[in-house]
Amino acid sequence: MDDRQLVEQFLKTKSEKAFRQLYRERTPHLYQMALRLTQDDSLSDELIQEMWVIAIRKLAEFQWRSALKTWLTGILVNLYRNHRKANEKMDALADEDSVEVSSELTFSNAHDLEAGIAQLPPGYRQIIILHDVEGYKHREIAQLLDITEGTSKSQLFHARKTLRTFLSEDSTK
Amino acid sequence: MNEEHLSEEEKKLFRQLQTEKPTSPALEDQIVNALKQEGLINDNQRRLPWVQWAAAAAIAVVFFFVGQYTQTGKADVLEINPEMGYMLLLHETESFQPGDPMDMFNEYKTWMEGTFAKGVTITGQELDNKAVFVGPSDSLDYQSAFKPHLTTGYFVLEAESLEQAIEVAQENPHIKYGGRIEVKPFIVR
Repeated sequence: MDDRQLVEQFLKTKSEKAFRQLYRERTPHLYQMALRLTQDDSLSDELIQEMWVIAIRKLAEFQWRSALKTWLTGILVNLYRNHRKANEKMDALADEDSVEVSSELTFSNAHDLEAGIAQLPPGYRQIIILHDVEGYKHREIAQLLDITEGTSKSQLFHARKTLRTFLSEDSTK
Repeated sequence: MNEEHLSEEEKKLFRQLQTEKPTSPALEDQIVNALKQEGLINDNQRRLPWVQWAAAAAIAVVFFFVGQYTQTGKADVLEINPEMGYMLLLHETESFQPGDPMDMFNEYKTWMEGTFAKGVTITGQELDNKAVFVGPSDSLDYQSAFKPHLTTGYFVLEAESLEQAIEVAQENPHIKYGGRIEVKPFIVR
């Protein structure tokens, strides 16, 4: 069954079985994203649970103007942002101008890249994951995060710059 | 280097990170319970008592029919060739959802008739949810130890092959309602 059929089946029955089918179809990808965003197992569990509670509450109003995955990603990312706002006094985005750039470096392998993403400040990590890993366009990210496309582009520019620096530092160790 | 752009190699590496990470069954159950508490999904355990009773009665019917189809007329007396013996264990988790009692009655009856028509000798028994787990150092109440996983019945049958035993299991209505059936061949030493 595709997403629309799974959702219709759930809305029709509100059954646990239908929810579990929907959950199992959609969660593994989102859970990987949550782990990459938070770098924390228990926080990922918490965010995924909150995401589903909100999604099921609003599911009947979902208009299918985007893919279900995109809609769920938006809920998840905004929960993550709210968590950051509540728990972090300093947003590392402020440090962006202090970064030295290695102009020659490229990412050498997926493992190093994953490690580099994990080191990024949360805001940078978020934009890299959404744009470069998940493949969302700046227009979509702007909608998901309620920012302008220009802000999305700017954040990505600085996030990539920082990522390359981290990888450069690691490669010289 | 222009920071706005990734090389093709870099794009390829990013795509390699598009993986999935299954969640634990415990998290899935935790989320289901949270949704039940919020009243966002139906709680199987809160079915009207008569519906629950009727569904259980319909499932029990199959075990009654077992007795009708054995040569002795007794469900617990059956001679089978151990080398062709298989046990089917019926498991239920929270995903098991009984359907309309009358539909279930007819489906189980049809299954039993079909199994008998294949020449498969079979017996079985419904099992109580109450049981005791006995281990080397302690004993536990079965329900609290294994909930929400329950073993609710078994069949012993004589089939020509594992494939035939699996076919019999796959056709059992228990599967349709979200249950699982474990097929275990006998070992003859």
